[in-house]
Amino acid sequence: MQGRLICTIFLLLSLHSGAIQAKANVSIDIAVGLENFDFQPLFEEFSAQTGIKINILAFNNNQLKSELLQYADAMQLPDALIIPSDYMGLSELRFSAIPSSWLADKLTLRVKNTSKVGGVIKGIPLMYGNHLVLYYNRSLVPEPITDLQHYIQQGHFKAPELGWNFYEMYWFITFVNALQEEVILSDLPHLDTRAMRLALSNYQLLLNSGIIDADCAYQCLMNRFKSAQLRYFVNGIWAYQQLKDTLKDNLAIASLPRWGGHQLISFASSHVLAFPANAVESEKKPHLKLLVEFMQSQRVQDRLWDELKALPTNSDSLDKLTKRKDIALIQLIASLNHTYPQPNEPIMAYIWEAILKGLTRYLGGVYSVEDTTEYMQFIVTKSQKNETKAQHR
Amino acid sequence: MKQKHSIVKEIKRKITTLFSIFLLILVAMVSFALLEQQAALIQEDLKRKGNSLINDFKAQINELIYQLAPISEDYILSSLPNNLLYTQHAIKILTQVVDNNAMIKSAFINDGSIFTVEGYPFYTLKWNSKVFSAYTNQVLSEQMRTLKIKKRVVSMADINGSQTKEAKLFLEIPLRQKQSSLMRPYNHTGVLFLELDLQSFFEASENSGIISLKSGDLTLEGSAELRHDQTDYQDIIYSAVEDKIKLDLLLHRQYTPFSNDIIRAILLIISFGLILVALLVWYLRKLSKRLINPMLVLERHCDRLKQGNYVTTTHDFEFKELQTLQVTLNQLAKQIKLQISSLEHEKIKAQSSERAKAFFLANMSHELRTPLNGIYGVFQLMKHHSDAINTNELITQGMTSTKTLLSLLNDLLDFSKIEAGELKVETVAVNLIRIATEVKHEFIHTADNLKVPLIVNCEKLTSPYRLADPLRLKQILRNLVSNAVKFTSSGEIRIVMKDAGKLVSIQVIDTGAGINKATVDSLFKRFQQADPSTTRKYGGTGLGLAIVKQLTELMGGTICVQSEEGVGSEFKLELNLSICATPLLHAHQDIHAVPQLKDKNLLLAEDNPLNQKIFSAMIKPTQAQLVIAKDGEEAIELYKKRKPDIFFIDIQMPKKDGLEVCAEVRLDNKQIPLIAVTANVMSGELDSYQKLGFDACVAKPIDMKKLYEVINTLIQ
Repeated sequence: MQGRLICTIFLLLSLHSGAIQAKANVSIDIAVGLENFDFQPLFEEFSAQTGIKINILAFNNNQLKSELLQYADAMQLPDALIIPSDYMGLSELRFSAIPSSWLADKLTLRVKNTSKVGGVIKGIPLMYGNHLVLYYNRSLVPEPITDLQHYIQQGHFKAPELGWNFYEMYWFITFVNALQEEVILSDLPHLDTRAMRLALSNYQLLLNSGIIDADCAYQCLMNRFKSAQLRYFVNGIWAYQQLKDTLKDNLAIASLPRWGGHQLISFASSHVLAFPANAVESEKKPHLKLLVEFMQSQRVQDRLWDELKALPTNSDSLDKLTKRKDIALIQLIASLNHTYPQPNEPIMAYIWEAILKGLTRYLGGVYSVEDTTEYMQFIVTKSQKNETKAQHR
Repeated sequence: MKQKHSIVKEIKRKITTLFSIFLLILVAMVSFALLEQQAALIQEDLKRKGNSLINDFKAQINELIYQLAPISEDYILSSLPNNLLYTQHAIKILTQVVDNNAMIKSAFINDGSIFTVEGYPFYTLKWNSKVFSAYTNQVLSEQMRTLKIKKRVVSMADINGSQTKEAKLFLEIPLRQKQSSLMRPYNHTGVLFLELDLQSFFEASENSGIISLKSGDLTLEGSAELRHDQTDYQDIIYSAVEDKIKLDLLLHRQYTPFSNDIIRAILLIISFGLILVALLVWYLRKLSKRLINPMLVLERHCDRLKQGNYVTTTHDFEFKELQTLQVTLNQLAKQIKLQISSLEHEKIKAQSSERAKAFFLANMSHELRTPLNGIYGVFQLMKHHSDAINTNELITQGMTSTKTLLSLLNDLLDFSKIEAGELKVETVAVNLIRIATEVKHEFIHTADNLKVPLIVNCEKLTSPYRLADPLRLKQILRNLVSNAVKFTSSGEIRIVMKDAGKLVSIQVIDTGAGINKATVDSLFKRFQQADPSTTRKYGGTGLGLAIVKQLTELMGGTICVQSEEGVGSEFKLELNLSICATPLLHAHQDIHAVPQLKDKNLLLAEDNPLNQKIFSAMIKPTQAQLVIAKDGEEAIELYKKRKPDIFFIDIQMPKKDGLEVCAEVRLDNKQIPLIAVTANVMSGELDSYQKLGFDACVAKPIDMKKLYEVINTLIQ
């Protein structure tokens, strides 16, 4: 009897290990942005728990969108993506509609809104915020810049003082948001506006002021700020951990400054787990569901700040962080009040591209500011029109 | 005085100059020929290069089109005009296209709107998109089923409004997406314009010359700006008809007319030429030395000749001409030497002759005075003494003196004639014995007076009748006998005549004074006598034997003398005289008889009254009626008036001379006998009188016998 029990237990163990062994043959391909967060430890933990192997495809953030679109053409998209929530608007990627049951209960409404495109849930919010804040080095300056235009007008800069990822539109949009609340009105782009023209002019003033080095891109700026070559640095909250590790207590955080009385306002968004090429409908659906559950689990959400320095989407986890006496953390969470939620409409992807192209041409002297905004409006409208046609077809 | 040139230097300078000019012309001609050849080769090469470049250009463009054709259906690029989300990837593709193709300088996409969709490098976005929009809309409107990649030349004025004539060449690749429609298999979304970078083509073609690619007035960027007048070669790359684009290749090769090869060739020719000039100069210098040295020798030789040192030289000259010149100079020297010698001889001879003449004149004066003294003495005695006995003797003595004088004058005339070569020997039948006899009779009285027998021996003369000149033969014999008589005071004088066929030998042998051996040789020379003392003793002009010798030689004979002083002399005359028959005897006496001219009218033109009297006296025996005119004019008047039967005319007369009178008379009458009576009795003068119309001539002093002979002859 005892022997039969032992045999039964051994058999069950064998079956269990066989099941794990069977899952271990399953893999999920996930594409992520390279610079932002290091999900590797979490995915390893998930694999360990579930036996599902996670293949990480890391892309440069700037290339991620076009790479995904190219893979979409080749019908070779990964199973899942961890992307900013606005990417969900890329219809070419054919994101799966996600059952609402997959969403965690502890999500705030603001966060839930970031998971939808056209009212349809297209992604699972994992981290929230993603907004820009003003870092400054206390060893160099005691106070942050409160009015950037005023600061520029005050001084002559022999060397750049402010780290600003100039050609990244996520930074530029803060100038637009300072003057215009919405860039999309009734699903239509709203770019050929006076606010946009003013934002372009102001942005050019910033460039010409000498306070920034436009040719020093993201990693360059990181290095300079870390090495105390820059007094101020506007970057996303995702950079906090790296900067903190280097600057320690000299690192201070403030909200974005104003520009001539107008507060520069960053977009805030979620990083969502989305499934392109209708992957949810594929045979990997259970595995993907396991991944969703794992990433939304309270345990993982609670660890996001400590391990990835990302704000969790789980309201309980966020509350726990708020209760901490960490000034920087409190400042980060407070800065969310000076953000606009990033639109997730498909057109937003076009808008990002359009304002990049418009800004580049404007600064390059190709177009006047009026022609630039007209150009932005034209190309977004044309792409939107063609996408609509494609969808109809 | 203008300085004279040196022949050698002149030749040197002229030859060097001519050769240099020739060399210069040669170099110029060769250069010109090489230049022409070079130009032809360059032209041919340009044509070949031009064709090659066009083919290369087309091949490169076609290869590029072939490589890039698939990009027409590139999904990203063809989607970009309709979906700007492909921007980053499209930029990447454009970057790759530009960076990976050396011939593509930039790439940009136009969708027919006023905005350039995307471009790389950035500057393409600044270009005026309207012009490209027009091209794009053209492509979009065509919606071609087959892929057609066009070439497009767009001016910089259209691209960026610059005021240049430059243009860019683009490839126009339609961007299209395949769709499942039979009617419209492709959806054209835009056009990818590729700006071609022709720099590599130009660099690869650098060696071909300066290249310009032109489309009408536009020049493609990067190519040289060439005007048509600078163009060495031009041809069409693309034609507007076939390729819908006009593009020409213009080629200009900057080349120096004288390429290195030509310069090398010319330098070589010049070098050779200079070497030749140097050699020529060297040779001419050497030649001049070879010429000058012998010429100096000749010059020295000439100097010696100039100084009268007529020596000969025997230098061995290198050159034939100089050798000939030396020989000539030597001959000249010899000739001059000979002539000088001859002149010296002649001089001595002339001096001798002068002396002889002086002696002759002195002698002649004596000889003339002697008979004149006789004549003058006779006339004086006759004037003062009218004794009849003495009168006849004196007249005889006077006549002898007159004959002597006449003989003397005749000798002089004969000698003069012989000297002038005017003495002519006549050939008539003569009797040698008779001549010898007549001469004997001429001198017999003198010989008798000297008691010297004068003997004629003709026994050995077999043929006495010979053809000869009796007058001259008699003169020879007379002179020889005269000499013998003159120099023989005792013994005898013998005339011996012999013959042997034609050869006749006449010897005059005397036993006189004889002649010494020293003077025998000059015995026959004129004005020579055996001894001046002879002249003083015996008298004589010294012309006798000279006349004898010359007359003998004139008759083709020889005369020699053998003499021994104190013993006597023997003159031997040898003549070749043809034998002839015995001639008929003429009435010799009749000719010298007094002519019977009764009732005949004679007219004498003579200005000298004495001569008039003498002539009248001589004519008186003829019983003719003589009328005398004292000058030429009167003679003509009397002639016309009297119409004489015979007209005697003196030659030298006042108013009209005898010759003029003769001429006038002959105009009137050709028959009337005209007889010249003149002292001008030289042979040439007598001939001229006969040619003028005189029938005969009577010499003064008038020999009555001769006068009667002439009259008788004319009457007969």
